[in-house]
Amino acid sequence: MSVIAMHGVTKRYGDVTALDDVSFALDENRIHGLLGRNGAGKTTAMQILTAQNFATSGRAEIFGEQPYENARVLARTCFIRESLRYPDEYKVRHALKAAAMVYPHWDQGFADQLVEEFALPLTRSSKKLSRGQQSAIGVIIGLASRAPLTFFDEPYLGLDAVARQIFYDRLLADFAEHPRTVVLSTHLIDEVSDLIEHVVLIDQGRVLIDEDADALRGRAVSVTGPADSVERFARGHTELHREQLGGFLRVTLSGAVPETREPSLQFEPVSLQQLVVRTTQRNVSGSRTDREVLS
Amino acid sequence: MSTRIDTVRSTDTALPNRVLTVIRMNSVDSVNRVGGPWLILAAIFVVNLAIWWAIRANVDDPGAGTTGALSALFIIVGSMYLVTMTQVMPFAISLGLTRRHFYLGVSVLLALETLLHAVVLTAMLGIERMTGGWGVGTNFFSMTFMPEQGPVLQVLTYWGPLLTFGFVFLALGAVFRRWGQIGIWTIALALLLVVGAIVFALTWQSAWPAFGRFFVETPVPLLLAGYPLILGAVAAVGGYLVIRRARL
Repeated sequence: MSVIAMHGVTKRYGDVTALDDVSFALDENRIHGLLGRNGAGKTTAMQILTAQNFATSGRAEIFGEQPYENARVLARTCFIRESLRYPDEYKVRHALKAAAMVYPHWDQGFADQLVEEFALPLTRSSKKLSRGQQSAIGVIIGLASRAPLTFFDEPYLGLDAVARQIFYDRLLADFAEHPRTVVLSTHLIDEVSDLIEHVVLIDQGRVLIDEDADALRGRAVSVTGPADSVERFARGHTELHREQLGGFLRVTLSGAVPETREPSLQFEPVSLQQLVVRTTQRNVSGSRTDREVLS
Repeated sequence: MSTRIDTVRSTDTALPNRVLTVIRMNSVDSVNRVGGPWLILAAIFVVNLAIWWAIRANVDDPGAGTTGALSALFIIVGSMYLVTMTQVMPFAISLGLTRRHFYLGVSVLLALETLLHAVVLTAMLGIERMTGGWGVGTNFFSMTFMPEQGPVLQVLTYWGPLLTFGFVFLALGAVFRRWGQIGIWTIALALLLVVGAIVFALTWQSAWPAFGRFFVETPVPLLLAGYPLILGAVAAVGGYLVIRRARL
């Protein structure tokens, strides 16, 4: 069952198009990665899905219903935004207590454990918190709320590598015990590539990739070898990227690692992050060429 | 699927329950919310007493000890509800609350909180009058030209303006959420033009005496509770209409 569905959603701010006819659907009880560059439209998409923002055209649905002022479906969501600030008058414990009151499945024991692991000072006023501590509150609320649909929009800002690992570990462990739908928007693709089961890549307001992570892992291959052999092999494949160093050439090709391999060529699977970067770069240069042709 | 955890009972999202949730979540810092204004008021009060004691000690008949210090409470309540819209609301919406439920919950909380303030103020006014202005003839809790009246009317006389103040600031907070600084400046400019127009009209028509008579002749409960509440109701509805379509 799809928990999230976008049907041809377009969002314009003046003459800027943040989302351009975006359609995708996300299955229930999985961890989805919403990937893309800054300003690609990820946050706008999540805001429209939680009715914090309004689509210019198209339809967004969660749990099969439109979300605007719809308590029945919104009550099942939790949206941890990168830019989320807590009221100045709140201490850390106030923010956690407020969240505890809102969510029927809130796990206080889990929240307490996370507070300890993130070394969060409960009685410190929210405006005196470091960026990382503010992020930690968001991460704790997002996890302990056990909302059936949880959005994490770059929730890790200011968190060090250890704290981020705690977040990934706890998310995965808790997800296994309490399956729910998680949408994780992030730039740190390598860090989460083992975590996410499905990938939606947005660039310049359009969906470039909408596939299961497993399928994507076999989706591209990098081929290295003498330039002429690589050129010969690459013919007939879709090329995502090329790097030349002297007589050696490395190309990233769309497609699986071939069964029969030429001995002079070296084949390597491409990481999710590499694939995302190459696909996005190709989209950028591709659209630039389009513009040049048009002008 | 039997293991699904997203079975939120429909009663959980029914309006009274969600409004109650909003009230509870806004009360997490209730000690600060209710205690803060009174702590500040108490400080002002002590300073006032000291000053009026000093004046009485040196001047034979300095006249009525009017202070106007009560306006501090209005300003604190107003700013608190402004912050509720600008800072608490985005947080609440992130937790899956709807604009409607949040606004309703905050409105109920505002009504309850200001009623509490009004009751305490009425009690303090009673003491003030019994003790001849706390022994030094100061009118701390008495607003200008406030007559002797029964406790219920007196509570209403305090409650009306406080409630109105709160709703006006809720509405201002809603404007800020929707249109940012530009919205606030537009309102300030519009207010300036309206007041200017009224002053111009009154002066041009030589209507200032009639304007003054209106304040003297209108019964005080109507003047302090009745008319402000009309403004408060307009602000309450207006604030909701503004926040309904605000991006958060």
